[in-house]
Amino acid sequence: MLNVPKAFALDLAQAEAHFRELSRIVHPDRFATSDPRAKRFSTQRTVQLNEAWRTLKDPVRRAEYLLSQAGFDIGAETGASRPGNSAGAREKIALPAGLLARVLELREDLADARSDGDQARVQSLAGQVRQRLGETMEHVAATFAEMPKVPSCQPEPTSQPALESIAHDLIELRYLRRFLDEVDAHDEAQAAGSTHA
Amino acid sequence: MPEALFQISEPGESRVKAACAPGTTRAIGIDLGTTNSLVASVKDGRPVVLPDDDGDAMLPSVVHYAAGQRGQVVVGKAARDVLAARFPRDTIASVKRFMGRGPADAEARRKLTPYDFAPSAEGEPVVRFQVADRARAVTPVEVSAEILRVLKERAERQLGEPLFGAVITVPAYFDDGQRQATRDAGRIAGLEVLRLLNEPTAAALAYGLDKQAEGTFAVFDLGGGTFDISILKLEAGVFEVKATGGDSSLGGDDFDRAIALHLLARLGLPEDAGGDRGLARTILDAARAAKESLSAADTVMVSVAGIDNVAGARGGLELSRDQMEALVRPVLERCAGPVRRALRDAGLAAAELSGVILVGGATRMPLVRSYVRELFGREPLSDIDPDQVVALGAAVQADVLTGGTDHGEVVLLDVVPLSLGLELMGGVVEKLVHRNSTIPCGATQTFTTYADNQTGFDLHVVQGERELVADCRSLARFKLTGIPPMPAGLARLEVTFLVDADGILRVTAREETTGVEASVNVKPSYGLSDEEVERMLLDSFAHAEDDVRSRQLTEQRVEADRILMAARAAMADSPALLTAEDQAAIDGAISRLEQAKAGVDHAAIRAAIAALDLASKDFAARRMNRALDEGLRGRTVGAIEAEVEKSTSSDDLQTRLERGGHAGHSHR
Repeated sequence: MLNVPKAFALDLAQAEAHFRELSRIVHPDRFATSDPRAKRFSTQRTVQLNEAWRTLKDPVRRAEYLLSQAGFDIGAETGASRPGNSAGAREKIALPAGLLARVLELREDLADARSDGDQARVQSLAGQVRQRLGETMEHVAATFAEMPKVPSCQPEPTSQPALESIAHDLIELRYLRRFLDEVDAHDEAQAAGSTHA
Repeated sequence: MPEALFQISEPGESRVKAACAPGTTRAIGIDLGTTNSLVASVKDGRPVVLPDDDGDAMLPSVVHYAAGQRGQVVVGKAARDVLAARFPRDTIASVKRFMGRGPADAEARRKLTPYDFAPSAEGEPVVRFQVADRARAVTPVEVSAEILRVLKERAERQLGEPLFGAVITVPAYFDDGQRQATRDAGRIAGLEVLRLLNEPTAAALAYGLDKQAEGTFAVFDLGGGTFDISILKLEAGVFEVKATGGDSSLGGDDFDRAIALHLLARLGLPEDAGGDRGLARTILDAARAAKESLSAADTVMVSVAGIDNVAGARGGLELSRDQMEALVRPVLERCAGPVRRALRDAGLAAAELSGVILVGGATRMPLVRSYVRELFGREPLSDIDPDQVVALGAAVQADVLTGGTDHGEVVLLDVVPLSLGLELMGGVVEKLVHRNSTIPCGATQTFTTYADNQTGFDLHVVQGERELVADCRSLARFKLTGIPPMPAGLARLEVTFLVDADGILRVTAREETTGVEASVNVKPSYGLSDEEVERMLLDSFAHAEDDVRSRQLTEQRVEADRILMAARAAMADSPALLTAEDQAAIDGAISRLEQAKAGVDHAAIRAAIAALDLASKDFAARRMNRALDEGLRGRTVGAIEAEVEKSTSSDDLQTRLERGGHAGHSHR
């Protein structure tokens, strides 16, 4: 829909220009005085368009989408699954080794720093997580780059390990982002508190 | 009005001029403000505000209800300057702050208030003011409708023709309930509400077109009662909102309140002015006057009529600008959080912005300007009158929507201000639509039963950023029943959220194994039911029932003409896309609609319109797709489009939405 190749590395500026162009054509503003059906179609199409662009512009969502196209489902909060055998059963991908322990530790540190009111510690934890997030993102990009092309529904056995590694990275990214959201919420509460004081 | 179904313009090609009855294309933009309201319209390609007979553009948003069941309603300057002090209880100011709010909300529980609230029955969702010497109880929606009605009449008088419709602006940070309330007020005032437009977006539109501005801008909008911050990217006629934030109860009124509390303290009076409503109104007005004078003067003498005899107040109280700013500053600093968050959501640093646009009366205060300078590290822009810029932008959007003049290539891409979600077990919120998603947007998620033999789902729709339901605003509750008993976890409930271009939510729920379905246009818990709106609409005509019926009949006939014209034009335009079956079905529906139109039953006409709509469904879909294909031609997108079509997720979404659309339609 957005005229981009099915790949992780993209020309986002071009895709965005295309998104704007298409918005111009299908947006409900164009159909404000049309009949209800035209309005509905326009709304549906724009919803799809917005969803496509939302998926595309964020590297994590983009990677998740590409993986889902290859049959890896990362829909669940805690794990991922890959397409099963002919019986159709989906097999759970195990959480990356040590991830849970690392995340729990980070969270405990954050909770401690918050209860101590140690702002510097909160920020340094956030810094660590941001760095880790950047590295993981780069790893995802590199793994995609090594693949000849992103496989579709029936991935070749050779690309399985790469896909699985990306799935692991994405699960980790999800936890890291959650952590940073929490820090943001904390920052905001802090800012609000200091304004009231 | 377009002359064919699905008029789609090619990029770079001007929109085909609408074929319409003469004198019905006039659309207006209305800034329904906390303190003042304005109406504007596009004349000769430029937006202009429409003043009243005295030449005043601003209508004070103050409504007075004279005593008696059918007492006179006075809106504007007279209400503000004369009646508010004499009849504080019967004269409502800043009603916007009560829109979509319930009796339990902070706004209705303030100590320093001139109003009398009607005792609310257990669980009653709407605030009502006791007015007209206690003879009437009116809702904020009705009060706002009085303001809109005055502006509508002003516009009709000035333009010399009936209006086609209006764009009404709302603070970007208004939640679903506040938006619904605003749209209802428009309906009650007899306006066709073409679109609710976010105020900062309207301001950007006015700037973008007038100043030919391009780049990424922040709009800092501090009005009488609300604060909005929006980050927009303006490029080649596309106005894309990147992020928005704010506080829907922060504005100049809060400055007045802070000053008023200070004055009361100096007078040795209690915070609630001893329950004296007249004094409360007077002191708030005195605070506002002092604040305004101090924009220019260094000190003012505040005299409060009626209490000059209180010890220490003889001849008035002296207030310096420094003192006033010290009182106001803590309130103003509440803007910092939303600004920071909006920049973060947009992924930008303040230094990356091309400019900061000031909107709203409160931004004329020197303190506010210097504060904005501090926050953004640059001199803000105020080339267009901050009081008028929103109404001007709304007029442009109204013109764009009705296919007028040469603004045809403009498109606004706005966002959802607050995340929307569902309550899960344990009072946790599952967000389906995240804040700052571009609208219209949708999301589908599947849930399951947690108990064996559960035959119904209770759905609770909430809005807000917090994890717990208790911290979010409750929008609606509804129930999906009729699911056959089965073990826990087997039923699959698919819930679809659709946010339309007005930012208003519709929720559809469907149990997959049985196909049981329910759909609601989310009526906010703090809002009015459709029946109430309908009743107010009828009341407001103050006519006999026959008049109402004839009005409905006229409306339906006009609508029928429009649909008939569009259908015929579409058939003539694209015979190739018409199958024989479609042709027969559509022809039949057309002649049935013609028949109904000749009669006097408006409901029959409405039904016949719906039938024609249904009969032309497939044909319309083919036309839409062809138009899209043509729009995309030359860009090898066909293949990708097909791919997207195949992708199950979006396909699902489309069918889901289509189904939701049907359900919604048959409800109406």
